[in-house]
Amino acid sequence: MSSEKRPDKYLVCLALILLLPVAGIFYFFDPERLVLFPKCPLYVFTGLYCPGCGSQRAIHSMLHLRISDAFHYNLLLIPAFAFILYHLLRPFFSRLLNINLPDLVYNRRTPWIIFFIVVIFWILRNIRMIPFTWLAPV
Amino acid sequence: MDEQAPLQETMVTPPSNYLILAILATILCCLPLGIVSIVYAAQVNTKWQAGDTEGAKQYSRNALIWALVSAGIGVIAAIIAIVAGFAAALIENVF
Repeated sequence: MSSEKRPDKYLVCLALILLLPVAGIFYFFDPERLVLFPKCPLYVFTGLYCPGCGSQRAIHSMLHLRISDAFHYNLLLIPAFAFILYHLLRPFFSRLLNINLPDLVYNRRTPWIIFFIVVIFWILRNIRMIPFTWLAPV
Repeated sequence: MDEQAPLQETMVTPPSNYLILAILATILCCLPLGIVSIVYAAQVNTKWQAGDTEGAKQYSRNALIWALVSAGIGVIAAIIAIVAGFAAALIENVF
């Protein structure tokens, strides 16, 4: 029972192997212009934006350092990457700074906070009125 | 008392709640199924802190399943879109 391991390490390895080629594709090709980038099926069928809509264009913008565009296409993409980066670098920085940085992933509240942020974002970006239209990836 | 030692050992690390995977599935995939995985991740943490090891493991499995379903549908949709895109480009050039 104690041999139950978190497979996070394998996931990290897999992600790192996939990261470079995928980042290359997203750097050199613009998802807005090239038809080969997959469109969101939820949007195609219902016309609704999901919390992940615009993330391909946001990644393209982010890699070209157009940060405000990245936030516009998908507000949560950069915060999500920042959260994941914190999780990955936490053990390293804890040792470096000799302090115990909190483990947010296994905090009781974190998943619920993320859940509410995602749901509120999902609702707001589908409201077609002036302050909220900024959240829609168009 | 003999049971106590291995029991203590299992209490050291909680089962993975796959929150990172759930976030990636929610933000990068097309269908909002990753949200289900986030809710399961929340329950892994709650169960674990309540001392319910078995419950935490069960929810951990559910979190993984939903994150993979979401990612899987995303990958399939992407492949279909890419194939359809190629087909459309081909038809346009041939005819």
